[in-house]
Amino acid sequence: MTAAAAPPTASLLEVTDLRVQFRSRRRTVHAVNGVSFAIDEGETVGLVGETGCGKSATVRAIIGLLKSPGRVTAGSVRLEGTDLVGLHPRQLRQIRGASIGFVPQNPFGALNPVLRIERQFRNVIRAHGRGRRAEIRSTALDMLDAVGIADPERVLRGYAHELSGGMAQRVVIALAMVLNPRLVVADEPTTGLDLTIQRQILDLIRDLAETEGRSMLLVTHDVGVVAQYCSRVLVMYAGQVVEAGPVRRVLTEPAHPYTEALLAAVPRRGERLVGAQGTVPTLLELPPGCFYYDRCQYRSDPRCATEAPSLREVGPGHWAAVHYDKGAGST
Amino acid sequence: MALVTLSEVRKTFRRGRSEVHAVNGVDLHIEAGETLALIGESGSGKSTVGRLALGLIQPDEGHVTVDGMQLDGLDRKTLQAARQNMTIVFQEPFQSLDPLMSVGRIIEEPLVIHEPSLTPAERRERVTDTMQRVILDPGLYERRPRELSGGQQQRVGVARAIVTGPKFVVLDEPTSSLDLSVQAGILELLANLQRDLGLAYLFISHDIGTVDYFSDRVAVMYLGQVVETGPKAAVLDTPRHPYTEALLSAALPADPTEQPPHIALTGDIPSPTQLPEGCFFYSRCNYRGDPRCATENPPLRQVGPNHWAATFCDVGSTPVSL
Repeated sequence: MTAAAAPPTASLLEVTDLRVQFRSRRRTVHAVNGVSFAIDEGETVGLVGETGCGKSATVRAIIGLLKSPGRVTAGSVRLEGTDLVGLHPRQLRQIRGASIGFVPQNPFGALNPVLRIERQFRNVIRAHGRGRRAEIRSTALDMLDAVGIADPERVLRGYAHELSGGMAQRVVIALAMVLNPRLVVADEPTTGLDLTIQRQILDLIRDLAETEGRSMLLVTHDVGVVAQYCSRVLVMYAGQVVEAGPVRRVLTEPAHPYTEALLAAVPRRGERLVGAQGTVPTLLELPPGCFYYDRCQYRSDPRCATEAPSLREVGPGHWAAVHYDKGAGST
Repeated sequence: MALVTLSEVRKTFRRGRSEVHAVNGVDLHIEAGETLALIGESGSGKSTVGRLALGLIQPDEGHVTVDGMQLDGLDRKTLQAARQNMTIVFQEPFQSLDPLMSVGRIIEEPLVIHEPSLTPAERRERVTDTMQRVILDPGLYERRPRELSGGQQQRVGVARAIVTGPKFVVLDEPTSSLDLSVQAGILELLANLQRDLGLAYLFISHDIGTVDYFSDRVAVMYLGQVVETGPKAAVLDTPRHPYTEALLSAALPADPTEQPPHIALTGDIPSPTQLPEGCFFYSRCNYRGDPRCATENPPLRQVGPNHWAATFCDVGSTPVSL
């Protein structure tokens, strides 16, 4: 399908039936197995799930930075109508930065250790056009000031290793936002940072997104981050979105048993913690029925073992990939 | 008398030409069968306190006593014998396990050191019993750590810690690298072991939710000092030190209908190489106002039943504008 044939849509980002595999000579890992979702203008969407659920692979596929041997085997990623899958790396680089700002988990991996911070701003800005040294410098100073860096002059002159974790993440955020992208993708942007710094960084990302009406995809394993910073949430399990909907709805009345189990594992005073039963499928071979079948305490529908459930609407804007109604008792 | 006591403990590390004042006069005690949570941010000295409490490092000043034995000043041999009574579970299960050793050998090793009179058959039995106790299939005895899941690896770490029958265990962020659903299982296991074996835990954590779920009492550290300590509910629900209040307000509740106000702190934690004059929290405090704040380091004073805070200020009074 070409971009011209795309149906008219209000969504900024539209991911349709995305599939990602990591193929080596010996085996194939089915990391992402038919993920579809959309992000509207100005919306902050959380993507939550546990290790190996495919959330990072999904995000890396969206920004075109899948690590080898991962590749997109099917589906499309449309940003403002343009399908990014299969674009030439040069075209993708133009879109990354200018249209999508990326904030990774480890800021020190994103910053070049041997270049001064000023040079890194120059590289990003010049990759997308021209700019005189002095102009770029003043843009960078403004940006560093906007992300709450007290002494931008000194930071600009310095190197990444001179920064604390929180400061480095602020610099990465400044670099991600400097070209004014419409969409910000943040992959666990505060994992490993202290509590008070985490809060400052998340507030900062939110404020920068809100003031410019940017959309945001926030990937996290932390239910608290979703609860406090996102309006909508996608819950991933075994490479699929198993539940999606408004945060207030999904986190208080989960419709998928996996979401329910995830929330039951959040420690709360005086409540009994419930750990996971059974194991996650290996994703080397996809199970024939529901991917959550082995661990599900509600399975009862005969289709559970044989047919993978697709997302269906269980409430206003609230979707879950289950064959039965959890509240309705056994089928 | 408490099972574990730290009194007026200080520890300074030399780094090049500078001195890092990691622990600056800490008093703590832990009763048998109880969990004391130690919270605070990077550089607050909480991991150093954990190592001091186990006698893994010696204090420059002050004393550490575990089960009636004073650890500082002990010769190596006596200290090693005392270690049978106290162990640690580390944050990164995989990195803390020897990749070349089998699971069984890893769990067995403390027995070889501390109970040399045991025969190999007796040791094997103790290891198998311990594996069952931590809900680890004894069939995994010959496996290597890398063949295990993260949760299983941490169960090996716990088994190794309890195999000698200790009374005191330091839990240094034991679940912070684990997924939620796996963490739940490990916390449940640790709680059961405490109930069955009467273990005392020093639970080092940065996760307020886990601390709230898991601990009996809480001590909050800032720049190498305990700034507040007391029963869990008192400290977490009615913090009296301005730092505790700010730290707790940065936690993110998992319930979207709960949106407590965030009290932002300005500036960074001061460098432990150059300790400030006066209250260590002065530079970031939203309440400072007492003339003593800038010149005197406030001692812990009682603010409620078993609840102590090291501050001249009153949380809840009108914050000053910085």
